[in-house]
Formats: sequence, C-alpha cells, structure tokens
Amino acid sequence: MKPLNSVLALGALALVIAGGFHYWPESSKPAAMQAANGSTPSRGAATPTTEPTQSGDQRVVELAVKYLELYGDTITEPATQARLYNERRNLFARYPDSGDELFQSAITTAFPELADSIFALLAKLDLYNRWLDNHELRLQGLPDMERYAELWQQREAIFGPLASQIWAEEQNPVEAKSDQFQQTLARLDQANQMPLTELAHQLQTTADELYGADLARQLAGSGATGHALFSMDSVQQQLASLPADKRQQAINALRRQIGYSEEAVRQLAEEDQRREEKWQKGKAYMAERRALENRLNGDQLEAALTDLRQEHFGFSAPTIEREEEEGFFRFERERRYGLN
Amino acid sequence: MTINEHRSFLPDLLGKTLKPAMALGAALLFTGCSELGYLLSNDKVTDADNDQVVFVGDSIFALSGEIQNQLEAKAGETFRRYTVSGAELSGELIAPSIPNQFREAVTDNPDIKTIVGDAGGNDILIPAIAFNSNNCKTPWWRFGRLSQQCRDFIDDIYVEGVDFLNEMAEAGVQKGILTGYYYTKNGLFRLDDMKEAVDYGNATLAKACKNSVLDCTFVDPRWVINDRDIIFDGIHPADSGSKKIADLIWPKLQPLL
Repeated sequence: MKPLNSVLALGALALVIAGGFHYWPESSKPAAMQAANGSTPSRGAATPTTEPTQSGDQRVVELAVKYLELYGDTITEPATQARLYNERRNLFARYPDSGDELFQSAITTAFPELADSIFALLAKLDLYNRWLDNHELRLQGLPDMERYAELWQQREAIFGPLASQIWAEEQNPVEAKSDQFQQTLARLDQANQMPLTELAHQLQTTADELYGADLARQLAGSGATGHALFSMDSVQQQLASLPADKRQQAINALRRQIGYSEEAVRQLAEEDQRREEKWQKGKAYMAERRALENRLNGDQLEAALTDLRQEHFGFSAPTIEREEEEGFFRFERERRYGLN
Repeated sequence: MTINEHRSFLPDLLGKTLKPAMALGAALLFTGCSELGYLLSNDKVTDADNDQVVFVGDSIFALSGEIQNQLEAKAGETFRRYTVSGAELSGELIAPSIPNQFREAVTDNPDIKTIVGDAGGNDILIPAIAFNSNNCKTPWWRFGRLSQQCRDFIDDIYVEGVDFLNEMAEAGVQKGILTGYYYTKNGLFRLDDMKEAVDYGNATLAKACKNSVLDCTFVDPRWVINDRDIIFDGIHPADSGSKKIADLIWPKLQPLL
C-alpha cells in the first residue's frame, strides 16, 4: 500500500482548517467529536485546565496535520506506526475522556487507508505492555540474554513477523557491546609485540568486563572467544614464527587460558594435527606441481598433474582438479593456525 | 539426569512449536553452553525403519526435528537421526561436529546409502553473533560487499565441507542431499545483516556439493522461506518453514528410497 502523499494531504487539511470545517460530513464524525461540537455536553468540559477551547473538529485536523508531518513519510512501516503509541498515550493523559476518540479520528483523517492496521498494531502493543507489566519483577531478575529471549518470544507471539520490523534497531545485550569489543580486537590485532599470553589475557579481561564473567564464559564455551583470539594477525604472526611442536603447545596453552576444558583442548589439538597434515601434504603437492609446470606443458602437463593429484590425494583427486579448474587453489589460502 | 535421558525428555517439551520455556535455552545455545546442544535436540535414532538413510546436521534439523518428521511422514518410514543443535563442520565445543555425527552413524551401522542434512551454518553464525570476529555481518548499506575476511572464512568452510562429503563417499555413501540456509531475520539476534554471508555461503556449499566425489544434490531454501517461517530467534524454522524445506528435499529423496 502506498503512503498517502503527505504534501497533498497537508495542503488539503490546511484548506479544511481555513474553511472552518463547513464541509466535514456529519455522518463521518465520531460520536465524541459530535459531543465536542456542543450537540451533547462533553464530560471533557469538566476539566478546563487540560481541555483546549478549540472545537473537537479543529483538534482532530490539527492532530492529523501533526501526525502527517511527523510520520507521514514512513507511516507504512510498522516501526513508525508503533511510535504513534506514545502520541495516543499523550492524548489520553491530556484528554482523559475524549483522547481515544480524538486519536482515532485524527489517525483516520491522516491515514485513512492504514487506520485499521494502525489501531490493530496499537492494540497489540497494549497487550504486550500488559504482559510486561505482569512479568516485570520476574524479568528483572533474569540474566540479560535470558530476559531478552523471553521478550522476543512474547513479541513474536503477539506481533508475528512485524516484531522484527518494529524492533529492527534494537540490539541484544551481546550485540550492544559488540562495538566496544571490536575496538579491543582491532587494537590487539595490531599488537605484534605483545606476548601471546598477554593478548589472550586482555581479550578475556575485555570480555569479562563487557559481558560479565558468566556470559563471557558461555561465549568462550561456544568457541567464539577462541575464534576471535586466533583471528588476530598479532596471534597468527607469533604462532607462524614458532616451530611446529612449540606452536601446538602455544595453541593449547592459549585455549586453556581462555577457559577450554582439557578434553576440548585435546580434541581441538587432534583436529589441528589433521589439518596440519593436510597442509603439509598440500605444500609438497604445490611444490611438485610448480616443478611440473616449469618442465612440461599441454597434454603432457595435464597428464602429469592428473597423476600427481592421484598420488597425493587419491580418492579426493577429482575434487582438487575441479577446484583448480575454477581457479581455486586451496593450499594457497592463508594459513590461520587454530582455525584452518 | 544423563544426556540421553535429557534427550528423551525434551522432545515432549518442544511439541509443535518452541515452547516459552525453551526460549531461554535457545538463547543460551547461541551464546554457547556445553551439553545444551543435546538438550535442545530431537532424539537420536540409531535403529530406524530404513537404516540406509541417515540424517546429520545442526539445529535447523535438530531443534524441532520437524523437517525429518515431515519427510518420514511422506515416506511412510523412519530414518536414522544424528542431528544435534549447535553442531558445526569443525569444532566440538557445543556438540559433536557434523562429520563426527556421520562417523558415529558408521560405527552404529556402516550400511549407509543416503545422507541428508546440512552443515556449516553454525561455523559462520556463532562467531558472527558473538563478536562478529569473522566480519560476516554486512549492514544493508554495504550489501554487495561481503568482507574479504568473511569470504576467506567461508572458503575455509568450503574445504572442510567438501572434504567431509568426500569422506562420506569413501565410506560407501552413494548419495548426499545437502541443504543450504535461508535468510535469517532480525529477532532475538539482529541477523538481517547475514544476508550477504548466506548468499556466499550457499554458493560455496553448492560448489562443495558439485566438486565432491559424492553424488551430491544441493537444496537451496532461500527462495521459499520468508520471515513468517522463522521463529522469534531469527534463525530456526517454524513448522511452516520446516514443511517448506521438507517439500524441497522430498523430490530429491523419494527416488532414492
């Protein structure tokens, strides 16, 4: 649905205001508006300190103009529609008796094609807020991520797919601190002179400070902290400079330092060794491949390469051949110790 | 309670959709918690009506188990089930790696004709969710420009993936059906930014399927799964999503039965 052209709508409403509402169709006026026009005594009149002196029709149009100005450009977006919740709340506070009718009339005037969906969305926000009120104390007692998970469960249950649009800009407690963590990562990434243990210590300390010890431990448990550590150039440079046996010892020590269990360290070390063997085999293959390319060409080279791939990779030789045909040479990738 | 007892107990809790109590667990799963992969997974099935068909993979399959349920309903028979939530192609911290799920299946019964499943999603998603240390999140104003760091990272996953497919072929598996991933959405985690990584990741998984020695078919669910088919965490399929994915897999699986 296309939004009502806000410029045209504003112009039309301005004409209406200038014309003193003489052509406002009576049948379309909500009951509260008719009451405000004087045909029926308004209960709102009993609160003169908050009720303006202008007529209900005029208030409706002024509100409609305001809503068009503030929200018209993006009113088709659920997040914008949700922001009208506070407009309605403000009207309720100011006009306890007629706020609801005023709001409905203003929205219907400003966004006639979207009014029903806006009201439906706001009704869901009422429901969501009631749920929040009823669970406030319990939610406050939960760890950040658990609380956030419950909020999202409820949002999805009430709003369905609209939830992700309404709260699109909201970050969870982990993501909210991601920028700060990224800054530390960027600094440590370039700290080539810093000892490995100190790099791991600073990374771990930053995670603890930002996320709290419990969540930091869980992040380490997911492998995310390890991935961040071994992704750093400073770590990779130092690992690359070590002999193979010392390198694996250093990797194991780093994993222990960030909280991996002995069993996890052992399993990951085995995986490291499997990868190391593949890389060593690959390096030998690439050296022989280059030598063949220097000596042979054409069909002779192709035949020799087929034999070479078979010799080094056996059953998987066709895969290596297909990759090379696509220009992908897996052993020319950057070696990232502890990761690949 | 042992892990296996947990696994027997939990499917009752899961029911048709993720129950509120499980929301907490789902959040913890993606912030990493050992054993939770098992807790939030369907039961392992080592002895099925048709033991020659084996499912391996991560929580897209394992959390509700509904994709496999749907396929079993269509087939009128059960298949072996080793999928575990939190599983990665490489790494054992949260759950047995997907290659180790396969190795376990071989140990239980080496007569495997067809493997169905997915792989690689958590390898990308977990670092992205936690610290974005793989730089795989691309804000919408940078669409079309997935970082080189993320590409390199996914290329590593390609190598792990194609080597795994070859391992299965070498073990005698005749056919593989590898399911790719769909676009995640903003929810518990802000995952709209994963779109570019999903595109590159699926292209990479398709390439692994094509380049492997295994007779492998890649199933791409990006075009059928929409936000309504994904639960509140922004990641896992709702029943509607599981049904759509099963509907994509079924034409590939049916002729193999």
